[in-house]
Amino acid sequence: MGLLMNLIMIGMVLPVGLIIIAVAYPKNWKKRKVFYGIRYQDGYEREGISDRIDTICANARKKAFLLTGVFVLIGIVLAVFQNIPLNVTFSVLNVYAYMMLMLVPYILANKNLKNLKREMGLVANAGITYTDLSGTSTVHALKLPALLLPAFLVAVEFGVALLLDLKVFCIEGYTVDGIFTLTSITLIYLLTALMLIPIAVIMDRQKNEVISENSTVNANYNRAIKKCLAGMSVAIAWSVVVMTTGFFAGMLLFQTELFAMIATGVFMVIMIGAIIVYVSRVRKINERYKEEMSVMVDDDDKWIGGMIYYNRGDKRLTVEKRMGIGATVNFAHPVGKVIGGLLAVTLLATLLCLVWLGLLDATPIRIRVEDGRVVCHQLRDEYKIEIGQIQSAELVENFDERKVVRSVGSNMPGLMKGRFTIDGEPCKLFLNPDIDLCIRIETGDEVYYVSRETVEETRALYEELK
Amino acid sequence: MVIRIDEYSDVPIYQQIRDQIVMGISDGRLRAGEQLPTVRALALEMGINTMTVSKAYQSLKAEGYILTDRKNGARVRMEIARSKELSDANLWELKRIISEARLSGVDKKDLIAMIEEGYKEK
Repeated sequence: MGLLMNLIMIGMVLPVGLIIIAVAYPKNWKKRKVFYGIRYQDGYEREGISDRIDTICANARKKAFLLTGVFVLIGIVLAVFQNIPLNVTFSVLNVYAYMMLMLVPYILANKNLKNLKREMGLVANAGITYTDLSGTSTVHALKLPALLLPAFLVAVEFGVALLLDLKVFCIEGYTVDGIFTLTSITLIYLLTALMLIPIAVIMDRQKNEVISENSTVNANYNRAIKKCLAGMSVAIAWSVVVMTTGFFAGMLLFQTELFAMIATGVFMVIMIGAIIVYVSRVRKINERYKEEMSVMVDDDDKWIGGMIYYNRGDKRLTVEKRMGIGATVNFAHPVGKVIGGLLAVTLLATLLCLVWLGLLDATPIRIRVEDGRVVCHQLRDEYKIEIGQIQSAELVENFDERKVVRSVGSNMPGLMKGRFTIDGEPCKLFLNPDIDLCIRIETGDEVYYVSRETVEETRALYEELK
Repeated sequence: MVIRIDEYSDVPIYQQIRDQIVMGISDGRLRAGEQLPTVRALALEMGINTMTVSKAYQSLKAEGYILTDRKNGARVRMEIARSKELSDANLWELKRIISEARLSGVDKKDLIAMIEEGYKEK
């Protein structure tokens, strides 16, 4: 992974980490409705108790900052020292470990606060739910057209991209690459815009929270919170439009996928900005309504680690999150159990992908000539080229000057494997791009670019083929 | 008006809903003619089965507290029939409360004061 890629990865993950700290590791817990998965209660401000909570919260926050520092440090080391073995795997592992470890101080603080509650003799009253009859299902803030319009614009851009790639019409300066790069990336953006719609609707339709005996207070509070949520969703939807348009214009003007990365970066910045605005507004709303919060359900014990809701006594499927933004599921609910299973499978699959990435990174490519065939082998992949079918074999130098676009396969530092196009020509690659030398083999029906691990070994293979 | 449901209570959920709506009508938190949420909306909000809410509404309708029709949903009756007497079940409940108050050592005057306080709450 290049220096730039590593720095981009740090640049994208670091703001997320800082948002997690701002949201989950509050500096002043007294201003929060919920902190470390524990609901605020007046008794916490008693002398002696308040100091202990201060210490627990300060320790957790300190650990979160420390973890962030370690993550950035490891990221910089991996970015600067590119020759570290398994660099790509360690970079991804660093992000993964950071995201997982960031939860640890939160869980520990939650555990300590629950212990403190037990010492104080505070008894949870889980299983009790409050519902405001006058506010039932009437408080919504999301205006669907505000979300549908950006999705429609992205759909139009996707349509134009598809027509361009199908050569239905053409734009001067844009050359179709034959592998539908413009169409496939705009399709991903369109799916992002479409996916936002049900998520925003679910967030807008989630159960209204009852904070007071006064229905007007409840309605105003929920309307204010949902207005913020709707605003954030619309801002993110428009950032998808900006991302798609930026990429589209970049591809038309400069014909490079680099704009996909830049556009994604802009999208991330707008999305993070929208989340920051949302978090600060929600904080202000909670501060404003704190005095009026007369109804409280203490179901802290039903929150595993302060973030996973498991309450058999609650028949609701979704509840407001204790850590983060929006809603989470009740994992004791039958549907929640299915969702939990899917999440576990996803997590396991991610870990397996990471292991696979490590294996790809660590296993050298091997090319041998045997039984009249050139056999390229790495892990489970094997290309067999019949020597009798080879029409020409030539050494290609300055490989990095070629325009290489991946269709299907691996494109990592030290490994290019799978279907690619080189200068617009479809071909199969099995090479180490770091050595900048490879052999172009043409058979009757396929073009291959292959190399061994080193220049000397590749030249030796070429001599053998000659 | 806010309804409080205790999932772990021995009292069935439909009964808890019914009781609290009656209390709401009695103390004025639910006004005469006030619209109640639909069965589906209330069930969705509470995260309970629609049959449970429906049972509570049917009970309230049968007792003359609310009116339901397909077009307007459920609403509090404009005029609630005043029979000027307690049902057998409520009389039995009252006797039970008096008995327990006596056993707990609650003074008769205090109990009457509590009842008066309850009447004043409207």
